[in-house]
Amino acid sequence: MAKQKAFYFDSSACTGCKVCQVACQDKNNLPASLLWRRVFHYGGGSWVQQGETMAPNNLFAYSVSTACQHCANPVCRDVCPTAAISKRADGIVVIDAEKCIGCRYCQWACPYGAPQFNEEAKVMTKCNFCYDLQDQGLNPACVDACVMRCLDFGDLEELRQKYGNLDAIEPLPTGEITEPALVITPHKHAQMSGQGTGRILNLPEEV
Amino acid sequence: MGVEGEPQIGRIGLKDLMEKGIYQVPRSPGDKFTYTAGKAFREDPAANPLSTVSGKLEIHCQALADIIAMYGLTTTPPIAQYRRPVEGVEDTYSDWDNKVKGEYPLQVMNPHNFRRSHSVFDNIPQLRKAFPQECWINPLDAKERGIQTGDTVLIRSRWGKVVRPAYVTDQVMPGVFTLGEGAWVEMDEALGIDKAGATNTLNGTHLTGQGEEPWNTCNVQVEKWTGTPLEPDYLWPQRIPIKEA
Amino acid sequence: MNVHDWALIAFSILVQMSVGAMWVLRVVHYFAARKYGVEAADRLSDRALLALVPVIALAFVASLFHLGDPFNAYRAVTNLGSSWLSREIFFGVVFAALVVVFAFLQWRKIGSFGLRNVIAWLAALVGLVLVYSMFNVYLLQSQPAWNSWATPISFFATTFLLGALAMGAAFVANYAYLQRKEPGCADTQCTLMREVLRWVAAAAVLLVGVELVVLPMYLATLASGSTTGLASVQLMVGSFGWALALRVVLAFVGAGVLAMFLYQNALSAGHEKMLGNLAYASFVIVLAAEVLGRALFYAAHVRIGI
Repeated sequence: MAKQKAFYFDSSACTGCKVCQVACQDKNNLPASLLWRRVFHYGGGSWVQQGETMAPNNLFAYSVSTACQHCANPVCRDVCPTAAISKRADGIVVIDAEKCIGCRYCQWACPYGAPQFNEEAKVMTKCNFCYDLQDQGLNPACVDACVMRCLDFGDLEELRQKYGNLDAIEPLPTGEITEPALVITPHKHAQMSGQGTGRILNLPEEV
Repeated sequence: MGVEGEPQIGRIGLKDLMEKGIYQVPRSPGDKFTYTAGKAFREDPAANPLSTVSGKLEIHCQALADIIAMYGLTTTPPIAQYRRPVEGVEDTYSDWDNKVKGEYPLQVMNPHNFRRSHSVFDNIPQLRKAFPQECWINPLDAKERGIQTGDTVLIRSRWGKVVRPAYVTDQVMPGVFTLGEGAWVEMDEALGIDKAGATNTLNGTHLTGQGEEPWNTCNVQVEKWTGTPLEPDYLWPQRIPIKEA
Repeated sequence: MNVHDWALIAFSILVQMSVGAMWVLRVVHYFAARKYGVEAADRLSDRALLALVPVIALAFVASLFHLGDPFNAYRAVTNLGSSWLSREIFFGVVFAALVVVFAFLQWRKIGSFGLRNVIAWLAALVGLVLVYSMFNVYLLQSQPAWNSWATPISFFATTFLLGALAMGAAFVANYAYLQRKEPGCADTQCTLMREVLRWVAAAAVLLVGVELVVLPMYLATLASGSTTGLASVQLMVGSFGWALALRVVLAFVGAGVLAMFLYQNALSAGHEKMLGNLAYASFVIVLAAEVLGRALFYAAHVRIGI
């Protein structure tokens, strides 16, 4: 069976600092408006009157860092009309900019919002798992940048054996559609995808 | 480079440093870079007293308090007491006894914003994209004012005005309002409003002495901004104060 | 909405209208030839057929505007194995080529009737496969507003509704032309035209009925399916509610009310001017309704996930 490279993300340690997001932009020379890795803050709860003051009622918040899941069933690759998207033997899903016509069909199809339109190049782009670094035996930029050591990567099966089978928490969609190559350690307040009672807390312009 | 004199030989050339942006000092266990402050005092306090009046570490230093008092500035009592701050919670009320809120009903907190170190690196667009210098407002306060997440709001204090996008969140108490300190001022001269949300624009000039950080207390009123829509600041032209040598 | 979406609205509407028109032309030609002979049938439909060519050309030019890199567009047919979009482009190109070839041969009367007939029916069949590919493009699990039983129904309804009304208007224009240039055939052509317009009107009433019945059922299913689906419905009846209402009203007026008057006036001779006005009006009004409907389709979809 072919190995599948996968990301590991530890939501219980993530502070939402976005170093991973910015390191990725730095490594790939992305303009400020293009994010291949995004950090979402998710939370909820409320304040209730308690005598003369207010008290918190089930308040919670946590962060989720997500890029491309290099899915086992990549819908982006299936729907691309020019076959610009391909899956390597090691499972990494890559967009070939030479073939892309910027029709955005992959963007419509991907539940993770991974493929994004580069306004300057006029083609779709996304996280490529820093395959150029991996091919030299180095780590992806985001993994090296994380100050809390929340991000890791490796063989999907090995990661699952080590950390479990969880591949989705709110606000990520459930893994049934595309089978993401992702293993997550949930935050203590993490809510399961599809059963969330909170909402994405980021400003729309942030993500 | 535009300076006179002999260049000195160091660990990394200036041009290389400006290109790489970083120089990391190599460390190893037992190298000569480890320094322990007050080592002698720690090993034998009696034989090696510090230069304070008591010779010890002074959590309350009377000598310092005396100097500050001599300048006519306020001092901090040695034992913790509540002292009413300038523009603290009491000043959000026009009538404290009857709990009637005044003209500036929200208490401001100025946390450190993730995108910069105080004001350092506030001018990087990628960092601005990650953290939009938004202000945080509790949903109860937001609802009263018809404000939703993403709306641009006008923030007014007794001393100045700023505009910023709002983030409606339960992570701040009702009656409390936060705006990260350190943004680079972008004053709209015609309107007299700072578009960047530098918190100094909102603070007054209180002269204080010991143990007070007056810029940490401030009262504001917040309302929806009805003027020209505010563009996210990661799209503003980048200000680079120091160009290539 | 942006250029990207307007290009898709234009392309999909024009292509579907062309497929519907091709079917109308085929069916009309077949029955007209049986009753009045091939020459009369040709006289009725040839100019309408030629009008299709610029429409299809315009559709493909419009589609290029939704691409970031249109110069690579020729690659869009290279993933027939798994991409419905690739298949759509492929069948679109084949359909367009067959229509253009048939139109040229028919215009110059090159080749036997049998040959031209085969090419024409082939074009019509490929057109059906084309519309089938088109709706499959939108059956994405990540798009609840599109991934619905209503999508194929509405795509085919648009195809035949616009095809019928477009050809109705074309036949009326054709008749006006014939009255000036070839007055000798006016009687036969008038009878033919009136008969065809009755069928066009009946088809319009039936198809708009389908659309207007499907719409509330679709909204109800979507609203109760998922939070994302509900968000789409809220957009459609909330911020875009005016467009939805207008789309329904225009469709009802154009393909319901006007179509009934069209039918009535087509029952007997002597109302040709009124027939003309009704045919043009109902086509333009329903085209506006369909464009609005398609615009809503592209504006109100919400993708699941992040």
